[in-house]
Amino acid sequence: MKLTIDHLSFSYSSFPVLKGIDLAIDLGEVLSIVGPNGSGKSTLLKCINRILKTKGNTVFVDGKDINKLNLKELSKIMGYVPQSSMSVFPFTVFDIVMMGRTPYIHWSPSEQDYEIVAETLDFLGLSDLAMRHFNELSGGEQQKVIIARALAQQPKILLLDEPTSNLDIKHQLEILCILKDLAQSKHCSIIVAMHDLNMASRFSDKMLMLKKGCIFAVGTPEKVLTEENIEAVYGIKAKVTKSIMGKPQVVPLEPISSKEVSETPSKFALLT
Amino acid sequence: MRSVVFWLMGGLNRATWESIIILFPIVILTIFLMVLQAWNINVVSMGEDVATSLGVTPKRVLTVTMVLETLATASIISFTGVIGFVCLISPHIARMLIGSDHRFLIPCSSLVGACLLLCSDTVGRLVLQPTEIPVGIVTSLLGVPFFLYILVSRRRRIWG
Repeated sequence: MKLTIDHLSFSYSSFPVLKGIDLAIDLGEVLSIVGPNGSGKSTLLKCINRILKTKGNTVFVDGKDINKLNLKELSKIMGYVPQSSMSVFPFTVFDIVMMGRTPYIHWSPSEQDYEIVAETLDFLGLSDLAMRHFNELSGGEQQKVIIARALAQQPKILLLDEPTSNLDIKHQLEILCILKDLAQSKHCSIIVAMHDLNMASRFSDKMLMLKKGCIFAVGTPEKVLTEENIEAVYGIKAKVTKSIMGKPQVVPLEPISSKEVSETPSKFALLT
Repeated sequence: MRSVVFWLMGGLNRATWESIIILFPIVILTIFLMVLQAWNINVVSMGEDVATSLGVTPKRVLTVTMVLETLATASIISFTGVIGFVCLISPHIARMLIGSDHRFLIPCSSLVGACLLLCSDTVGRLVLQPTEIPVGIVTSLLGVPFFLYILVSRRRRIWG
């Protein structure tokens, strides 16, 4: 399934957060969105998933405008994994993953829904935790459960908002390997907002670098992760080498004091 | 004046078969409609963003449940007067009994509430014979300690 974004802009009340985003992502691709805090990564994901409504026709799935789909149809196409999750009431892991079947069930889950949930838990190696309470699990396990919930939706496009930011290195690797596998074996398109540039470089086919709500660079990790781009977007000096995986590897050196940072393009100056 | 006092204290001694004829269909209908919304309530409890991404409109679910709750409570209260704390205790007991899935929680807590009210009323009529204590007083006697317990246990959770 092909996702196209055509000139997407979004403002919280009158404060513009995203300005003229154009993007296309193909079947089975992993796209990572990187950029400093407040650059609009989460907002972009929420706009794609219509959690935040944009004006006009901007997001298209296979050429169809998502604003024309109803929420239920959309939720069969896209799954969303939020930055942090908690459950107000004590639900079991199985219950939480079953909630992913919501678009398909009316009041009570069918036999097939139970099978799909069991398969999904098995796929992510969560079967042993199925009857545990969600709130008692570790951060890494919780994140996997939330990914399982999104997978139970059987989406064609999966959106993840910093899925690895609170996890130890093993869980980070596990989750990113699962995502890569999903993209390759199930031809799921995956869009993931991330902070770790090296992880993003290793696991994504395409990268999108945001700066203050605008696309600064887009393309392969080699094209996006250059010393100049990193300096301009993050305001740090960095060295980019090649990792043993053959992907660019970023070694951050030191922050540049704000005075030295090259001036942003003049259109930003107009806004302030 | 007497009926105002009665209404404020809350009690079942004015209940007649006529009030049941009116209340029964309203209560059954609202419970039925609430149970139909149960899965959506489960999903909304995970947060609004998540609910939206699962194809549920949180605002719609909240509006529907609020209207149903108000309808059920208001119609009962207008016959019995104010009987406090039943709604505080019974969902907690029900959740301890059968868990958080609202498909079962809603009917279960209605039943627990009914039992609680009936027991409190019976106790109120028997303890100080021949004087009857209004059921609202009995439920408050149960409810206040329960309320304090929840307050203290929640605070402990926040403070670690």
